[in-house]
Amino acid sequence: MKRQVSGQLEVPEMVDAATPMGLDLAEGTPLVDRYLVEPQTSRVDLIFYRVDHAGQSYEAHVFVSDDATTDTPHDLEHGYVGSFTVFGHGGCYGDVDHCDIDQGTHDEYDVRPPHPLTPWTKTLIVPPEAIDLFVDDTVQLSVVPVAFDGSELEVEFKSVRLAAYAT
Amino acid sequence: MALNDERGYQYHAGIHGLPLPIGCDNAHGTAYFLPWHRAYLYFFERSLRDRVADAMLTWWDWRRTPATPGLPAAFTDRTGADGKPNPLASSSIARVALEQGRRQGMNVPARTQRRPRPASSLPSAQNVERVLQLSDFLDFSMQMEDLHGNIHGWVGGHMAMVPYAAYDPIFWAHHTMIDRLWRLWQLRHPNALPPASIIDRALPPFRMTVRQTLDVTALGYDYAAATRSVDFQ
Repeated sequence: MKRQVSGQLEVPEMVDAATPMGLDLAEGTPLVDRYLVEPQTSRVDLIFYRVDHAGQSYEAHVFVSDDATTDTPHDLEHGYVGSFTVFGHGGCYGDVDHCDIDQGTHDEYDVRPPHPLTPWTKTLIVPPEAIDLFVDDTVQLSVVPVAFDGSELEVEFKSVRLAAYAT
Repeated sequence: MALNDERGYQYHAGIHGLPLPIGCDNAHGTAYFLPWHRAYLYFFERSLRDRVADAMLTWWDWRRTPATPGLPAAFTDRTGADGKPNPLASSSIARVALEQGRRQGMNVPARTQRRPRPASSLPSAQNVERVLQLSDFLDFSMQMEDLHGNIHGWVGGHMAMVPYAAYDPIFWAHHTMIDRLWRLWQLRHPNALPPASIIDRALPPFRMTVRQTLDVTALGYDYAAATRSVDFQ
């Protein structure tokens, strides 16, 4: 049985992560209680909500750091905690409004699945050796997107949540 | 075979993206990811067998090991033993699919290309093992989809683009690896199932439900734990 202890903060507005960014996750309140991290916490997740995937494909590298860039080494010393990938839709190929998520009429009898471009939730499971990076009162997070083809891109997501699980 | 013949490669490759209107709706980023792609592989393999009775899909074990060459030679050699162009190295793309992409500014070569990264950046066996240890279906599915996306990006070129990825012959070997890992995970976690809310849902455009994808032996195949080939002289 896993017990979830989590802190949650909404990023105030849509984030344009065309350039590396820092997100204040904690605002002075410990998100992960040291008591739970040592030694009971078995897993820490970073959960990104409403991740846009309508554009090109990319890999988002995540750092506990406020100044990570595409040149920052992917190691614990530099706060690297892993990445998530977005295999993107690559654009809209239909007619006008084809990729408009809010089109159409929906009611309780509508068994059609959600619009294919409905934003995703992506969960990054923090490697066990990196959990200690989250015990400070304030955690600065940088998300560095890198397009699969190496080109510049903008990525959007609505919020990020830190969840710690104790066995 | 031309795109308009549902028995052929172009038709099957086009289901994943372009040309519209058939597409992989809700096959990515959802709980349908693994079942949808298993159905996709199943119907593609059945079509292969309609042409060659003992044909079967093979998996590309892309885990990083000291001996990992990156892309398998079978998919990179320019010619086969018969001296003809290797059909696994590249594929043409249906013209209507190219045209639909171009109308939206996506100009891609008319034959699939790859730009693989160094083999040292492939996922490690430890990365894969961590995912296989997850005991919840949705948890496993999401992390497996992430590994899957990583490989699409690693191969690069058309494989990095949803609309054209399935035209690259390596797509099928990659997804067969994903399907194999799901099978191995199922054997470890026999009671872990997709959510009840989706289990009897269909997987369009395939005439198959999520439930029908859960037992590969009922679909007529399974995965060997290991394989080795010996050439007879």
